[in-house]
Amino acid sequence: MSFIDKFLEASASENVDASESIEEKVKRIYGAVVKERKPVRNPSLMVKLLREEFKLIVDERIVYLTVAAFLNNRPVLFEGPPGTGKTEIGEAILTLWAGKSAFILPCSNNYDEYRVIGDFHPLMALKYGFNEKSFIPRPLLAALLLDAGVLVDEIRRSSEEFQNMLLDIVDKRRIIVPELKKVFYAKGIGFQVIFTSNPEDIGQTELSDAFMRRVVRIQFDYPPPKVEVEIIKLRLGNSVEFPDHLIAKMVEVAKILRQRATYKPGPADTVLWAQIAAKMATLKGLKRVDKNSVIEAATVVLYKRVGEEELVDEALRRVFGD
Amino acid sequence: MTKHLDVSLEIRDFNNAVANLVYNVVNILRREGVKVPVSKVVDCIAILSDYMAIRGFKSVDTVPPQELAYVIYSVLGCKLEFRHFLDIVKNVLQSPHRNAVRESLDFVKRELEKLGLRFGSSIKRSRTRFRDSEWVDAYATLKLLGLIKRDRRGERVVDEREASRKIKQLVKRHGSLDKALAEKVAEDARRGGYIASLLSPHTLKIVSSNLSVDELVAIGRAALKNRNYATAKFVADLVQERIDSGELKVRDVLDVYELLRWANRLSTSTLSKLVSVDPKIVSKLEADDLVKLLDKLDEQSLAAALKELSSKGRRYSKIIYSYAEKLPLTLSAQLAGTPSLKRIGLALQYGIRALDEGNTAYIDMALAELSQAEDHELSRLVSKFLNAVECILEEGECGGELVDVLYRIVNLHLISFEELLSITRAVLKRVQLRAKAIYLAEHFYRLLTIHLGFRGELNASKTKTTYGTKLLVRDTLYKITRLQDARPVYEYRKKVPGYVLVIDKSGSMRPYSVTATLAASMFATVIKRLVLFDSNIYVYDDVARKGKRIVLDLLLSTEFDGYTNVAAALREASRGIKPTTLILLTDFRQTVNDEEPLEVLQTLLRTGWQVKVIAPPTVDPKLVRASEEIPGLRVAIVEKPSELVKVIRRIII
Repeated sequence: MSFIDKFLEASASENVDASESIEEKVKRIYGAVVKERKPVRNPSLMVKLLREEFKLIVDERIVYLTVAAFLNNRPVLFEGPPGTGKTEIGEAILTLWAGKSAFILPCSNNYDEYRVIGDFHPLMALKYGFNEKSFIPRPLLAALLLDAGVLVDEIRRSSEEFQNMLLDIVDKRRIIVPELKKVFYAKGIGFQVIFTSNPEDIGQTELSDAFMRRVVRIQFDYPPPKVEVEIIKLRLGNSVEFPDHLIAKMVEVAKILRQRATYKPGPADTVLWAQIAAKMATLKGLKRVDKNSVIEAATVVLYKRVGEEELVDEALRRVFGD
Repeated sequence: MTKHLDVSLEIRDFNNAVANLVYNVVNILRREGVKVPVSKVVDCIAILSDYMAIRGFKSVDTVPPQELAYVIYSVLGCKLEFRHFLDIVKNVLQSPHRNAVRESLDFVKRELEKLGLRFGSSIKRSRTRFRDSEWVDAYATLKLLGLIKRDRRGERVVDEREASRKIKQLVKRHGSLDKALAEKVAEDARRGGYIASLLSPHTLKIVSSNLSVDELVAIGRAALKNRNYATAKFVADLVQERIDSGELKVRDVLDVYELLRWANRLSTSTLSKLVSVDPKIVSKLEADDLVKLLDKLDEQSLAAALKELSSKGRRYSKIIYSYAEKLPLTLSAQLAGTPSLKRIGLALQYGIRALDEGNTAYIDMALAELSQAEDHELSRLVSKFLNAVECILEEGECGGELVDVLYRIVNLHLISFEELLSITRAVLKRVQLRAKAIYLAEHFYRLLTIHLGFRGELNASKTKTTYGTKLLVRDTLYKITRLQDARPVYEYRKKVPGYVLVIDKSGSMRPYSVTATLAASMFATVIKRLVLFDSNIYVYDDVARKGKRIVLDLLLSTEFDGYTNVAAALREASRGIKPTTLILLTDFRQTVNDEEPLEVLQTLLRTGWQVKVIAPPTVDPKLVRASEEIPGLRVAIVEKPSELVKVIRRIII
């Protein structure tokens, strides 16, 4: 018995039906990951759910505009500095819109269609040839067939060919797999795409005009201090008492560092900072977070780049005093 | 059913408003150099409409500008600062056009209130109403704007929908209702100004800056006819102000004069300005006014005024004699006020005629006149002239003498250069005199160009250098044998570009023929191609090589006559040669149905031609303005031949 036969026997013992269709295959592989819920397509309800369920404070204009773009079958590009919640908000909106948890494609330079649409299992291809039996569907195809949203993270890190391929799929809402001689069409309007990108990040490709022409670009920025304080409070929960003035000061430190340091802490960092400070205070047995815990936690969260520790210290000193 | 229709209309209006907004924003962006593809515009309209629908906004006006800008900015995705973008959107939202339409409609409603009418109602004219100046003003305003129309049943105000459409149209075309009214008033004034003369001074004041003196005068005269004296007085004031400030382009000075005299607005300075434009009005003045006026005039105007007076018979002889003494001899000869000078003038005219017609009988008549005149410097000059003419007519070799005398006569302002040139032209027609006339013309041109300050001809220059193209063997050998410099001697030719000269010889250019001929002769040595055209086109190639004399002959024997086809001439002129500088002399009166001349010029400019246009003052000013917007095209307006040198120098440099 050859190695191939052995392998196939082993697969058969796992109750894999080699004659199942691509749709069935997708459901079998990704069904467990994709949790279904009731789709929400009302933007005002979306804003409310984002806040209550996902603990995200989103400018309602972003939600409305994204929905308007989806109604016109246009992909959306979230662009802004890191840590401003692009990925989280995008994923949440897609999940609510489609009623299924969204697929995330974290991009890198060597990403190609085989990694996102599907490829062939080499051994099975040897035995059965290049057909549905040996085909392994990947996330993009799965999303199309399951009518779920796709979040393409850090699109600028991918190659231009990859971007063009995505655009074609999003435009026509179908995927062609030439090896199978088959075209898969989107099942409904749940299949939508959000791209995220951070234009300030280094070592990445520029987005082409053709790409920019097809997407609706929504810019993200650091939230105003008041909103940031609100975000931190929302994320902290009620486990421990966190004085308001300390949170305000933390936001102030973050603001200083955004102006001067090369690593610019986003709201995500301030949230993490607050969470660690709260944890430390609990470990110390305190009921109320104190200044020392906050400053100690800062060293964990804010010391990101070598040579910038002094900057952080100075900012802390300026805001919290000696 | 109707309800359903209303809803669909509402949606259409809504989409229109969104589309207009997006389109206007995109237009501004494109003007600023931002590239916005059409697909983006379409997307933007669709997404913004959906956004407004799901957000619950019913019209563009209710959406905060910040939010509108946010959505459009996001969809267009252009790399502009958001703050700047927001300004653009705000500007579009508060564009003057939008407000102007609303304000204009309010204004029209107020005017209708004054008339005591509504949209769509008919107007009954009555004498009592026409005495109410406010009523008449409102009536004239609406009538001029085209909001009162006449049909079979009489006059009526247009209905509201038509009115708002009309107002939108006017505001869009003219920018505001005031400007539209100003334009309509001007149009009416050109037709006689009957309706414009019904306007009150207050309304006229708003639109007056747009009106020329002629148009104002037309309105003033119509107002006098209508017995609308307040308006006529106001217009007379405006006219006087304009004339005093030096706006002297007036078609009919007599009309101006009569209007101002009626309104008692004739100061001496205003009068002297009017006289300088047209001396004919002096004969209309009262005697004491006339004396005051003549004291103020400069020499040229005084001479012209006296000449005019002398044509009115013996009535003014006293005044003429007393003032003619003040004039220099040359001018008084022109005036021909004294019998002796008159005879000398007549003798000169006969002499010219003799030259013109080749008839020696005129010389006898001239000599007879001259013998009765007193012995005078002028009479001696004229008799010399007559001798030269006689000599020429008898086929003698007196060309040089004639030129000399003619030149002196011209210098004494007895006849102008222009007159002289036309004499030469007339002489050229006579075949037996042709050779002499060309010789005369050549001499004459030399003097003339010197007189006008045009020194040095346009020609290729040759210099001897140590570099260049053509080796001069003789010079090189000479230097070597003399043990001077051993380097070879070359000839260096500085190339002068060959010009293509296109001259309009149609009937409309006849008064301008002297300038045209003069301009052409200045380029005579560098013309690559000469094109003379009316409705036919005559192309002469390689003219410069044939010699200046041939060119002069050609130009001087040209009859200025026929229709004009500028477009065809330009096409013909540019055919088959490399792009170079093209000099066009025309008044652009295209009388043959063909392409627009400016379009042909644009095509030429695009294909690498340099085009310079010399135009007479009679050229259409609209065309000149339109030509200013064409990059690379220069139109120089030459009023007198003496300005030509300056213009040509500018063109060449």
